[in-house]
Formats: sequence, structure tokens, C-alpha cells
Amino acid sequence: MKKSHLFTLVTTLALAGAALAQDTIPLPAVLPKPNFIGTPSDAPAGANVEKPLGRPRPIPQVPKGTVNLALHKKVTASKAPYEGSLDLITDGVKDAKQGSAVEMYPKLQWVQIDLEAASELSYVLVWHFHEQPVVFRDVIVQVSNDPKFVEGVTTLYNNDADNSAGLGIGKDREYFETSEGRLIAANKVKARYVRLYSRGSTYTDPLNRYTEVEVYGLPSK
Amino acid sequence: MRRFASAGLALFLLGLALLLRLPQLGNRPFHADEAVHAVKFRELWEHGRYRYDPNEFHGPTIYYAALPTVAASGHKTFVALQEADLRLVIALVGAALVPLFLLLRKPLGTSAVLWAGLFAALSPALVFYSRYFIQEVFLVVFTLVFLASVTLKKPIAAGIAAGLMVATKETAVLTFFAAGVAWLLVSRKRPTLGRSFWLALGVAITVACVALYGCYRPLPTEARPNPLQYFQAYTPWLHRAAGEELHKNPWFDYLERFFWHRREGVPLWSESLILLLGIFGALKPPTTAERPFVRFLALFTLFLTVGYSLIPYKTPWCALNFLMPLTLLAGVGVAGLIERAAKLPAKALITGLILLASAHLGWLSYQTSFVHFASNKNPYVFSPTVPDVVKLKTRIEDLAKVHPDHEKLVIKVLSKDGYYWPLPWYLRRFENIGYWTQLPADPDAPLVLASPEFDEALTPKLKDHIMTGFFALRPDASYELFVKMNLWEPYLKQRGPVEDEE
Repeated sequence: MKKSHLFTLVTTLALAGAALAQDTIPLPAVLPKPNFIGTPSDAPAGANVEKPLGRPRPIPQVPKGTVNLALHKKVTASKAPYEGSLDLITDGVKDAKQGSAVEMYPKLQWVQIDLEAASELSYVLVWHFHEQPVVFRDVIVQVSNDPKFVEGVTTLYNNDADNSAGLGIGKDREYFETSEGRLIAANKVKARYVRLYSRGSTYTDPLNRYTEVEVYGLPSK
Repeated sequence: MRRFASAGLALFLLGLALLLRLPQLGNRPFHADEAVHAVKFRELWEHGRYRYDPNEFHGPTIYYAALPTVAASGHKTFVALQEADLRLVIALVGAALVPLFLLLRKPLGTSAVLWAGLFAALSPALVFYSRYFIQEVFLVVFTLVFLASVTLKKPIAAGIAAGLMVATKETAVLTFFAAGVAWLLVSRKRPTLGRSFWLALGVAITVACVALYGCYRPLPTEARPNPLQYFQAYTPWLHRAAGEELHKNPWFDYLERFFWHRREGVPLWSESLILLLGIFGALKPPTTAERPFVRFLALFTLFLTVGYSLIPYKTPWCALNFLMPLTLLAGVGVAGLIERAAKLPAKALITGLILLASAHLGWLSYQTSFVHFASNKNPYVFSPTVPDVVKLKTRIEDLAKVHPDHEKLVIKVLSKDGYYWPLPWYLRRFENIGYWTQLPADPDAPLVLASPEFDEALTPKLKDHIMTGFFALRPDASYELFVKMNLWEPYLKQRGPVEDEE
């Protein structure tokens, strides 16, 4: 047996053991079909794109009872969409096909999901647009209990290295969009609103796009 | 043709050659090899020292030749020098090739050498590599002077030229071999090595030794190389001749590259005019040309073409060695064609058509050197440095302005291999810069420039840094720039907000 296989087996067994002991389950996210195979090796100019993993992302454990709290929840945005409806972001459809992504105007834009109650969050999973391996700029994900995001804001992810969005320098790396989406740890923060920023992408036009956003956590009691 | 008319035409052709060689000499970033030569030049310029290294770098003639042209630029420091300052000497010598063709007017005829001068002035290859701080144009010019001197029976001049060829590039040996075999085949008499030969050889050895080992500020005794080490140069070069991955190309690479290169979105590059006229010239020279010399030139060109094509290690500028004599043969070909045309209208028609085709060569030269100079679809471009390197330089200089140590800040460059050139040229103003080809024990520094291969190992070691982006050196080589947060934050503050792109 190869060393790497042995390592995977041991890790899986350890995680399974831990899951049984701590009453956890694998993250119940269902990934869409990939639209392309592999990722480009050339990073787009000026980007700080991380190296693609080259293998499926490991599935993290989450507390038992964790669900997608964002499904069919209300979405608002910095501006009305250019094309499509904001409902597409939480409609549960995440395949890379015509009409599955809402198109937002260029420059810095945000979308915001109201989870309807403050909940303990495990992960945010976002697919901007995975028809092609594009890189979205200034991806910032924040949570708060304030719908205006003035008070009590927690930043979960920020890859705005040059602070062009004005929300602080982000040390997270840019990444190629794939069918796996971007999985962002929420570290059990309790919040009602999730806001996601972006500033266009390396695609052929400067629009912002969202195919789906899932927010995993424990429903509030 | 009257002497003053031919001199006038040669001057006109020189002007044409300069017109294509001198403008915008800095439009293209330094190729890695140019940067290496610039750094070698620095040692000679700043300290008066040169040490021949048989393993790399070739000979010093371009460094010595650049001294006066760089002095004329008025710059006092290496940091102030620009690419154009160093390329200037190559452009001037490349243009000088055109009037130097007149040295062969006796064996080839004035008309032939003037036509050859026109082709040399306009040839995309001869123009493009005359705008490159590398040795090839010098080798080609010294070769011409050598051939002319031998033909004109000037042993001292031949010796000087041969010595300079040796001191320019080790591949001079291929030229000598091709010339020797061609001469043996053409010579009707049994060859003898007379007094002239030994005189030329003595002069050549003296000139080569002085150029290679006699820098004007002598090296310390322990650093003085053994003159015989020149021959050691052939060990690594023979090894390379077998072909490294980067330089390994099929035998027909030069022929395809220079005579029929079709790619989408760019012009069809072809110097076939010179090739076809050259073949015609070799077969049907005019009566004004000396047949034995034309035969010699044809064989010499053929041997060099075959020789360079058979060596798997190929860099496109090496082709100048056979393109130069081919250009001479093309001139002979035109003279032969015109002579064969019976009547004046036919002569005028041939002249007009060839001038028209030459104008196309000139247009291709313009496309090569001024439009597609950084495109991989341009056959003359080889492993080009991309303009992104200038952005990287500017970014690092701007960061240094914010750092308290300014240009003395520490920069660590971690490269997966030794092909990090031309970075030492573009980052020449930074004194505290180091280059590694393996991950050092302590990679920490305000600025770390690293090959993506180091990313995984480096990221956890640079917790106080931010990876600010990729910068390309060449289409296949990028580097990641890590900046310490306590430098990145003031830099962003000083830079101000970034405008949104539409």
C-alpha cells in the first residue's frame, strides 16, 4: 500500500472514530457536476491565486443536525441584478448551466442572505461561476447580526490583498472557481446575516456572478 | 559602377540599416542572456576587470566595445544604465556590416555586394539580433572581415579578425572549420601553409589572448586564469550541443523559423527571398564575380547551415552565421539575374521586383522588432522576457521607497532553478538581494520572491507576510511576491485607493 493511501485510511478511520465519539457528521453538502476537467496552471496576471489541490477536497466534520440554513432564504444585494434573480443564489441549483447564476453589475458588489435567526455557523460554501476556471477578485465573506453590517461584523474570508474594497487587507488567497465551490470556515460564530463581496473576475466580462451560496449551521432552537 | 556612386549607395544602405536598428532600442525587456552579459559588463566597467569563464558567458569583445558607447550615454552608474545604452553598440556594429560588404567587391562585384547590403540592412534576422546585447552580430562581422582579409591576402588583418572571432564566441571554431573545408574543396592547387598563414595565426593567438586574458586592470595573481582553459570551454559546450530540453530543436528548426514561419494572427515570416536568390547566386553568378570565391562562399554557407542544423542545441541567433554569407550570395544572385536580362526593360523589371520584395523584407523587420517583439508567435523571439518583469521591478521599487532601509532592504529570491535571469539586472539597485535555488533555512525577509514550487513549503514559514501576486519573467516562469505585512500596509496607505476597472 502506498504511504499516501495508508495516511488517508488512517485519517479517515480517525475522523470516523472522532465523529462517533463527538456526535458529528460529514458536511452534508452535495457538489454539482464539474463543467471542466482540471484547472489551468497559469495564474492570471496580478492574481495571488493558490495552487489547486489536485485532488478532491477533504470533507470536514460538522455537528450532527447541521443543515444548509440558506436554502430558499431571502437575498438582498448592493444593487438590483443586471440579469437574473437574487433567488437563484439560494434556490439549491448549483450546476454550471445557462441561467443558473445571477449576474450582478461590475465593480465591488455584495449579496446578503438573511438566515431569519441567529444560528451557530460551521461553513459557508459559495459557487460564483464554475463554467470555466475563472478567478473572482476581492472575495470577502462577513457575518453579523446587524443587517447593515455596521456593528458586530466578523470577517470569515478576505482575499483582497491590496485592500481595494476598503474592508481591510485580506491574507486569504485567490482561487480558481470549480464545481467544489469555496468552503469557508465559520468557526461556530453565531450570526443571522451573511454578506459576500466580490469585484468581478477574470472572465471575459467584468460582471459579478453567483450560482449558489450555502450556509451550514445548526438551526436556532 | 563609379566609386563615388557605390560609396553613396553604401552610405544610403547604412542609413537604412541604422533606421531599423537604432530606434526604440529599449522597447523589449532584457532577455535572460542579455542580463547576464550586462552584469559581466558591469565588472569591466566599474572595476576594469574581466575574467574569462570557460563554463559560460562566451568572450568579452562586446563588453570592451560597449565601454565607449556607454560612456557616451553619460550615465555614471550601473543602476542608471538602460537596456538601450548597452544595445547601442550591437546596433552600430550590426549596421556596419552593410558597408563592410564592400570589402568583398573585388571577388563578388560592386553590384552584388550592394544588393547584399540592401538585404542585410532589411533582413528581419539581422535587424532583430542587432538589437540584442549578445555576441552573435560581432561574430558575424568579424567573420566577414576575416573572409575578406584572407581573400585580399591581408594576413595581419585576417589574424586580428580571427583572434577577435575566438575572443567573441567559442562557436568561431565552426566557422573556421566550414571555411577550411570549403577552401580545401575549392582550391585547385595543393594547399600549403606559407609564411602568411603562420603570421595570421600568430596575430590571431596574440589578439585572442590579449582580449580574453588581458584586462586593463590586472586580476590578482591567484585569480588569473590559465590561458589554456579556453579549450575547457568546449567540454560544457559539447555537452550542451547534444541539446538541453530548453534548447533542443529538430534539424529543420532554423529553416522553418527563418524561411517559412506561419502562425495565426501574425504575418507570414519568410526570408525565402534571400534563400532563393542565394541559391541562384551560387549556381549562376555574374561574370563580374570570381567563380572560385562564389563556390567557396556557397560551400561555406552550406556547411555552416548543415552544421548548425545538425547540432540539437539551437538558439535562433546562431543562424546569423549562415544567413550573413547567404545574404552575400543573394546579392550575387541579383547581379547574375540582372546581367542575364538581355534588354534594359527586363533589367528594370527585375530591379523593380526585387526592390519591391526587399520592401516586404523591411516591413517584416518592422513587424519583428517594433510590433511583435515580445510575441511567442514571432520566430525571432526566443524564450522572451515578458513586460511583466518591468511591473515587478516597479512594484519592488515602490515598496522599497516605503521601507525604512529603502534600497538596502533585504530581498530573498527563491528560484526552482538557475533560470531567474534577468532579475539581477532589473533588481540591480538593491544591494542586499540574495538568490537561492533551494528553500533556505530562514527564508524570512521583508520581500520574498519565490517560484510557485516553493509555495506550499514557504507559506507556513512566512506567517507575517502576504502573497501579493504572481509576476511573470517568461511565458513559462512566474514568481510569487511575498511582502511582510508591516511593509505592505504602509505601502497600500501611501499608494492610495485603486480605481475600479470597467
